[in-house]
Amino acid sequence: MNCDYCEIVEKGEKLFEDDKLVVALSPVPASLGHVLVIPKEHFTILEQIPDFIAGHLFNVTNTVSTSVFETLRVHGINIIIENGISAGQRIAHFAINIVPRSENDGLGFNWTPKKFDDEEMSTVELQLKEQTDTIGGFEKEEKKALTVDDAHETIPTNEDDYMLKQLNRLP
Amino acid sequence: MVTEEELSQMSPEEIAEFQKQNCVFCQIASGKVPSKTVYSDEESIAVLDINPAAKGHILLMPKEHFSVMPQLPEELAEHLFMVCKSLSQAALKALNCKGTTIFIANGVAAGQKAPHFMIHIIPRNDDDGLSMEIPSKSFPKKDMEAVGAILKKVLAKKQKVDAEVVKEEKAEPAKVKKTKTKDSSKKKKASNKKKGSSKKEAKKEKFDLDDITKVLGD
Repeated sequence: MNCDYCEIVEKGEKLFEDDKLVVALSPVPASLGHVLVIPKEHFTILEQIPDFIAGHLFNVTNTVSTSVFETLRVHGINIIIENGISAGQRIAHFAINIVPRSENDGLGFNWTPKKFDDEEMSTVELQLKEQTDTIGGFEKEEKKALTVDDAHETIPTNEDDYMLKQLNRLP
Repeated sequence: MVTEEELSQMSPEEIAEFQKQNCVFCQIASGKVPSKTVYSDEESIAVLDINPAAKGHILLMPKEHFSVMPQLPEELAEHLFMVCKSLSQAALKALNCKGTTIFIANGVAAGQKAPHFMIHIIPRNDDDGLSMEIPSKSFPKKDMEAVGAILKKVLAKKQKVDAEVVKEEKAEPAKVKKTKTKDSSKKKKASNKKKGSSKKEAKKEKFDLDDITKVLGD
């Protein structure tokens, strides 16, 4: 396994680190101060990342981008995630790009608006709505996962239970 | 309409209120302006962009008015990003696209066009002709090292100040209690609460501007 970002996580030069992620300068920066927020675990795309790690990644991104903005005194910040090869992802390890921007820096992350007629837009709306119906369980899911984990340690195993019952039965 | 002069006499709060009332995305969020809503919950709403980069281009935004990302409360930011993840997944499934670009513009120089924070979720396909690629450049090693050193210092300082803020918060109610292992327990608490206080702290802290001018001057 040779993953450039796993390498950074393991032995690269880091700006910040906690138990879930590292923050490092991009080895191929778009501008001076281009920073990456990388989860320590090797996830390829956003969809693989557990909700609570995704949330944490974003929070750190927010803090770091504020720091970059204030420290380097740039004019703006772009936060870009290339999720999938079609989106320009070059390294198979999820990362959030924090790209400092200055006026007239020539970095055009811009698009010419496309036009779709109302029918097409409505179809897309319906298609998406069908899939978004199920969104909303994540917070509960995450907390449930945690409590189950906690409970796992305290709840006696079936075997203990059985033995306890047996004990209680003793006259 | 409000004239320049009236605007200049407004207090910051009044200007914020004025911005809110005139924010088209707030009106979309409240339903006053019709939109193609693909998802909505108590805190956030996702609509189709009327000037899309691709079919299915989604704008995810908080219902409450925030101009830029640093203003977002921690919990809301987390929530938004979890929704963002789900929406990206929904787009992949519903539209059969091969990837998504998730894009946030903070500041006019970064391409922000409306004073309401939002996350763009753009469905992507091979050869879709969108030039969203992040260019790879190289900068003098000296500059990279200098920027790295400053950012490292700032982030470490931020973390330290956060820890101190938490220490103070913790010290007040629990003055009587004196534990032997106070160091380790405080550190734990600090890391938990770290980001909650980071915003307060960000305002408090004055960065070492001399360091930066040195770099920029080079």
